[in-house]
Amino acid sequence: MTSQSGVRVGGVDFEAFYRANRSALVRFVRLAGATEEEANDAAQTAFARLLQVSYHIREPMGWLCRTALNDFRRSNPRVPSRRRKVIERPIPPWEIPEPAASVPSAADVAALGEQTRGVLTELALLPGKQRQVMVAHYDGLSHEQIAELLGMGTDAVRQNLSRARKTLRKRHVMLDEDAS
Amino acid sequence: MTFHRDRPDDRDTYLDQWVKAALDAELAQMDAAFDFPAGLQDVYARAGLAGPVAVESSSDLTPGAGGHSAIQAVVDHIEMLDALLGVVTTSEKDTSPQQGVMYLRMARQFLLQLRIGLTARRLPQARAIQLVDTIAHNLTETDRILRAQQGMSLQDAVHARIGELRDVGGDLNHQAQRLREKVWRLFTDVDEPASRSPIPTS
Repeated sequence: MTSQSGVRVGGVDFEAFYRANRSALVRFVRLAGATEEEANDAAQTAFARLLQVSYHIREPMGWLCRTALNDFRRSNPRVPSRRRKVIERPIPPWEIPEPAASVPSAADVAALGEQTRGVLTELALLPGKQRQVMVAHYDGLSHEQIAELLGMGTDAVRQNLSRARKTLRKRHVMLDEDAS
Repeated sequence: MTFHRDRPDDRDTYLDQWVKAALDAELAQMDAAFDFPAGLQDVYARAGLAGPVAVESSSDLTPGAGGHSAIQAVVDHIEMLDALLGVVTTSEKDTSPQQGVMYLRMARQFLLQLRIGLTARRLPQARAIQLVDTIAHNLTETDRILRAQQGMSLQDAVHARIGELRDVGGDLNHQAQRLREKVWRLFTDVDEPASRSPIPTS
């Protein structure tokens, strides 16, 4: 069961937009240092604000990321402000989400998680900024949007992306060699 | 284009595929575990708006009279496709170049995610179609690599392994296309198909 409100975002029904982007937004806020609960809360609030705005938003996903991040930072005094450094805490492997509980079998879960968790673990071991830039990049945000969201220049975005790729490439080659 | 691991551009493309696949898999898992109708109600409540009029939607796979058999048909198709791909990924190295096998493994992971999401009835339509499209893409890439490095198509590789043991019923691209159609119908044929409009992936 779901709902149809008639509200549209970027030409798409709001509910469809929510379903397609909610998880990416939660993940983005988590990478800024939020707990699962904080990230969920900030994402829900951002989507609620999106429902309330009366003006046209050209890049809804970028707007949501900014709104959710600001909301999280405002409600969490322990979090550094936008222009200060991003939390550098790597996400330990045991905090990487496990597959959903409603699954056909334990074997399926194991098969599902193995490779995915391997890559996610490598990502989690990157320094915080690199990880944030990397994930935002793969979530489709432009360098300019990432720069604005994370309070850095576009050159720094490119540099972080390049460094992250270099690290992952090295690690990936090593994994390949181990496997062969 | 042939993949060359020593060329920086190809290495980046390859790496991008791996990272994107893992991140998409993570999103699919998060989607599958989240109660979207409850989440939407919460969003409307926070916005101070009345909850939207609830209607049966094509975006949900709620249990219905014909729902189970329709899902089962898709699951059967997924399992058939997975079995065929499994034949190639477990073959000897000389008939399965490593890059091709990696694309195949990713395709199988996505097949599994699709099955889990559909079985749990928590997978949004947009993500389900995205998964099927990614599977098709990975099969195309595998085929390309096999042709370039082994001079044989993915279909040839499957046939070489299973011979006449089984009638595959069309090539793998065709099977992926059929899977897409079945998944699409699963969401659009719940009721009143004429009133359903596709939900674009973003």
